[in-house]
Amino acid sequence: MSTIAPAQPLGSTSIPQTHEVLSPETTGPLTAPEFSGSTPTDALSELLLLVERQNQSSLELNLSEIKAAHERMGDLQRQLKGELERALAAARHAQHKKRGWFSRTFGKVIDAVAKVVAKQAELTKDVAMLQVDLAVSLVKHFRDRDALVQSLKHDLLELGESSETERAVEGFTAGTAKFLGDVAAFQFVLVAALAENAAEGDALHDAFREALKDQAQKLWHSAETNILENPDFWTVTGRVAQGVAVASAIASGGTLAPVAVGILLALEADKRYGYIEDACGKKAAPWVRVGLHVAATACSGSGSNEALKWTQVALSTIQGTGAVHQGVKTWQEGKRQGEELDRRADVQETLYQIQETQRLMDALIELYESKSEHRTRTTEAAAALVETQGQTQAALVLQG
Amino acid sequence: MRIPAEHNVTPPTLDCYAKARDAFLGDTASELAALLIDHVRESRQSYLEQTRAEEHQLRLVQAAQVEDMRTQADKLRDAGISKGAGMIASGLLTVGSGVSIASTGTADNPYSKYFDGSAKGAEGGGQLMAAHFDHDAGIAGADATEHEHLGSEAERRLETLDEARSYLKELQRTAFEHLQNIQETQAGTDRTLTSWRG
Repeated sequence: MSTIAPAQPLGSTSIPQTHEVLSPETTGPLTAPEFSGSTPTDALSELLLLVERQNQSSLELNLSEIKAAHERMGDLQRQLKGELERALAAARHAQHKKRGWFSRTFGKVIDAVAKVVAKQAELTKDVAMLQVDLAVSLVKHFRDRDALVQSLKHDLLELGESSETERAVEGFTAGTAKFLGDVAAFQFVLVAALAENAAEGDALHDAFREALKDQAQKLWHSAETNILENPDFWTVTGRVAQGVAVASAIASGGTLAPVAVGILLALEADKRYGYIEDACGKKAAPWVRVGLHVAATACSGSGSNEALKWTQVALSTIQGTGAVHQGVKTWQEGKRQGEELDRRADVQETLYQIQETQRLMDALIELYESKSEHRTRTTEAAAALVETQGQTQAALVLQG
Repeated sequence: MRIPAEHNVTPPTLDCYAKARDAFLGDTASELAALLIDHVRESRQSYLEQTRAEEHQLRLVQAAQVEDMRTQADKLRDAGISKGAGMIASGLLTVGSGVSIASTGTADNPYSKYFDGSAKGAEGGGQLMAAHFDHDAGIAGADATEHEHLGSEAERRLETLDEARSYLKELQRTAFEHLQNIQETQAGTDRTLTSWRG
């Protein structure tokens, strides 16, 4: 005989404590129906309760975690913005950079030099004027060279007319001319500043100091553009250096005059028969001629050895300066690449943190939704249970 | 609803109702649904543990990737410094060679040759060091790429775990709905039995 479990009062209707619903002969498969949804014996309620217990945190705690993650996300986004701005600024700086390390240093050095110059004005003025005079004298000396120099110029012109070397010589000539023009402008400003200083007293005039500083920076830019970073300049200089090296090797024997005569004869023979082009090839022939002319120029005359020596000194200095410049550029490029990669690493790290925070936020939101949904489902299930229970009790009342 | 004692139509026997209810209560589907809910609970716990492990793995490989990138940056910087320093030293020694020619008055002097040789040695040494650092930078870059791929694998596993959790959620919802239907059917059956017996 089965009995109905005690039920909750429903309104004013009283449910009997026990109620016979089945005859004794119907025992077997039927089990006692559960009318109380809140009792542990209700399987569905028990399951709902167990699942509910899986939610460790309350909805309020969940919300606070979402809020904290959102704030963290905001911080990371601001951090990423800052890193991107820095990367952009570095890229712009690299793109618009016109002055290198030497140039920046040069501008600062000018100030210090100007102060020193202010104290030793007369002496420095004399030295500067002497340098200017020496430069002018050197130019005049080379312009007054003999026919070999004219022949050298002629060969250089030939080089300029050659389609293969025209661009290199044009670049060499244009770059050198521009640089010499800037040197002249710098010297003019320097002399003017020194003259002003000599007239005014012991301090350089501010305007001239600034003009001198600007002019020095322009001079360095000109050297960078027209000389140091001008590939044509280094092409021509390298060829000339090879010719001078050959001449130096020949001249090291000490008998310069026979060597010069031999070179002149070789050049004359080449003019008549063109054997250099046959021996060295069409492309290399103009350069070999230039080298031979330089060697002949160096070997001829009373001061030939001196000319060769100073040419070698000048070439060594130019090539050394170029190597130093390239070394500084390489150093800076390595540093720039390293810094760029560091910035990429910073950005990547921040992006990973943002992704991690985003996953955390997604998980928290999913958990919040799950909890909300579960609570809703539990409420609905409880309502359904109560409704079913009420209907069953109503049926019992009608039966009773 | 009350079933009249006298009925024109032959009412179904109690055994029929019992069989009908047994089709829902205590049946295989209900037991399976209950087992599914238990399975979902355990699986979800297992997936959460796996997710935590994958998150930890992802953080580790991403941190390793960033560290490799920083190492590569350092090595690139060192390579540039080595090569640049070698070229600077070479240039200065070349200038020194010129100065020695100017001071001695001839190109055929031991100092000039010493400077020229040292210049080539300095440049070669710088390039040698730079090659070493470039090699290290390449290895660090390869490590960074490897860790990036490992991170991608961990992310894919996380996505798979997310999908599995979503599937479990759907499975749990279906099992609950089934049990709820069973509960309602059981209650309806009990009400019918009570009315019929009464």
